[in-house]
Amino acid sequence: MDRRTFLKAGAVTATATALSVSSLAPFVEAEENTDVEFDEVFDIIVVGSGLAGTTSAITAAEQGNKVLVVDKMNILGGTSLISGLNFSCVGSDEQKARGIKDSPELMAQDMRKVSEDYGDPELALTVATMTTRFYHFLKDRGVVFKEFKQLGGHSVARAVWAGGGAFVIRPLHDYAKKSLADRLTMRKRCRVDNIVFDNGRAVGIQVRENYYFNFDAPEKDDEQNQTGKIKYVGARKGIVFASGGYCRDKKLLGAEADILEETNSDANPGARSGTLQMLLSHGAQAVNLSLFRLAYPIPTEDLMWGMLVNPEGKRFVNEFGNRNTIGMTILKEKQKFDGKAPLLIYDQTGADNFHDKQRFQLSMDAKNGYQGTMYKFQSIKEVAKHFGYDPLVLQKAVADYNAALDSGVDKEFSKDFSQMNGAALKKAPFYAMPLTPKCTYTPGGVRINKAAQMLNSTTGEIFTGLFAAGEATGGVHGAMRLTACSVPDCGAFGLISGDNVSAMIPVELQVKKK
Amino acid sequence: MKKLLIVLGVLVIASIAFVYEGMNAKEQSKETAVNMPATTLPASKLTELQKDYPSKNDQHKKLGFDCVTCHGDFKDPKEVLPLQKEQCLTCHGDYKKVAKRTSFLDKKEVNPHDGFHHKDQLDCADCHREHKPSVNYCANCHDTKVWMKSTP
Ligand SMILES: Cc1cc2nc3c(=O)[nH]c(=O)nc-3n(C[C@H](O)[C@H](O)[C@H](O)COP(=O)(O)OP(=O)(O)OC[C@H]3O[C@@H](n4cnc5c(N)ncnc54)[C@H](O)[C@@H]3O)c2cc1C
Repeated sequence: MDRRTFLKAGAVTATATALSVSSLAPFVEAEENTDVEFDEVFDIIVVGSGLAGTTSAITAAEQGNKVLVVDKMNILGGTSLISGLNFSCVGSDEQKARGIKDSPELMAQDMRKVSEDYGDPELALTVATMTTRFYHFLKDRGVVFKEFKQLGGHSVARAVWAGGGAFVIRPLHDYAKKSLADRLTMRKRCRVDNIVFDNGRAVGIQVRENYYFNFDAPEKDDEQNQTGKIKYVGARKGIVFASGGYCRDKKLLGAEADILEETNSDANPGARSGTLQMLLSHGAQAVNLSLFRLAYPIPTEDLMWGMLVNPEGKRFVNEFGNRNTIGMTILKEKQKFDGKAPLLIYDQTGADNFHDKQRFQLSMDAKNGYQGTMYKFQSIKEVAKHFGYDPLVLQKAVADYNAALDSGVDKEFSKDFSQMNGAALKKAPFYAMPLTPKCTYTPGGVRINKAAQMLNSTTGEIFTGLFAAGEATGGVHGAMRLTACSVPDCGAFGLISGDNVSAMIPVELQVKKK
Repeated sequence: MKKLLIVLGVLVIASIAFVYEGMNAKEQSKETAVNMPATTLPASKLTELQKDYPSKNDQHKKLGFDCVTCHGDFKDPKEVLPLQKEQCLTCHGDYKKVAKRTSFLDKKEVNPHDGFHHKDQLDCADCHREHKPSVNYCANCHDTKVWMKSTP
């Protein structure tokens, strides 16, 4: 299909949907269709109220545009609201105060180290280059950073932390309500079902207002949810898709890699692939959908202090490895045992060795997400009883592990015992939890260029009027995604999409007469 | 028929007062005056609808609520939406007051009515259901059994 016919096809589809309200309307040729009527018209529409969407919307509204943000969920904020939102940033005041030398090139290099060469290095560099501007964007609009951290995989300390997603999203939404009320509208329970094209340009969306997400059967929401009332909303300048990832979509994850069906996720319950599928139906290009990022309730770096055993009481992996390798091994092990997760056990010394004690404490307080709770025991026998192991089997596993530690060599899995800093399974009390990797991020999504414009899979050219930002996009990170690098991604392409959609020449759109 | 409707309308417009008791025993019971919304639905239809959509809330049942008490007037039951928090709060006070009743959960920062993530964003009906068994919204992401019992 060449560009012209694609555009025509796009327009025809849109015309058909736009007119489907009055299903008796005659079929209109694409080129002649200049009279789509909308219930409401804005300059810019942003889909998704998470970090990427909020950033894009505020940026566009501050440049004088009338902006509508829609979110299909019962609350605003998406995964961003419940995330840690640690932010890798080059050139923060915190770095300056400590005299830390850093550069966008160095950060991009760190990002590429775990990418396994998937994705587009240029996008990673764009992200790193925008971090200083995003840092000030957040601070100037009420976000306060409380902590500065050196995180795994980063060659220098560069992560700032506001205390969690709520401490970023809430100030931004409050700021929008206070300072941009005349221009920026945020609407929850409003799901985008389709895009309206006019002569090849995206000029609006078809939404359902009063959409009630199906929390009782979330896996069927995209296909079966019939709630809400259809409306058409026009966008004179363009539409930004900041619609997030699909961590909770086991159907798509499982289709890409069978074992991913065994993952847990505590991303937004609405993190599913319906919006992605809709974009693909219009010719958007999907990249890197097979990639995934596994995480654990406790930091990957702190798994090494403990022992992992399967339901038969056997070790099966080097606990001191990278997140995805350990995770994949656990997922395969779960498949072998009907979905039953392996057990992770620490002794007191292991617990004391945690580099991130806050997350250890969260697990002890049962506040560390779904199946993220750690329990405390006085003996291995108690551990066995609580998790349904034969005490003799578990005691033997512990004895074998301690003996191997004493010998200094892990003959089975080559764990580097010289790094253990005294951690073994000797000193009571013991701490244990079943361990299932969580899918907390999907690196795949729609392809964009450096200008946050969405690309067409057939022509490789951009869609006029369509932008994307944040986890909805693919190819920015490649495999795994470096810790604390979604925030700079959401920020960079939130700002860029906000700038560039604002710069579009507006089209005249008609509002339906009441 | 028309006359009957009008009479019925006048009847339900009349305000009722009722008393409800909080979960915290120390909390003082207060009378809340509630304006019953007017409706054009005949009583027989309301009775029929109550059979189709029974309430699971004993307190509400005791007080003799019908569909329009909470949902307001409607023509087609298919138009009726789940309640937004503002509607529930016309009787139940404000979010802060509700949060106080479960303030014993504040210490661990797991008071669902003043949530770490959501503050006062959630609708009551996200957890407390009138026509279906209630759920715990926090359980979408957390092991909530450690924090609290099942949702009333
Ligand atoms: C537990 C957890 C911890 C994390 N910690 C970190 C961290 O410390 N640092 C870091 O960098 N990253 C972290 N991440 C990842 C990061 O939080 C996310 O990648 C990021 O918040 C995504 O932001 P977003 O704006 O792209 O999407 P979201 O915040 O998910 O927002 C997208 C929104 O779009 C809405 N939407 C989707 N489709 C439609 C539609 N058709 N119509 C209307 N609305 C729609 C969704 O409902 C959603 O609200 C973490 C993730 C999790 C789950």
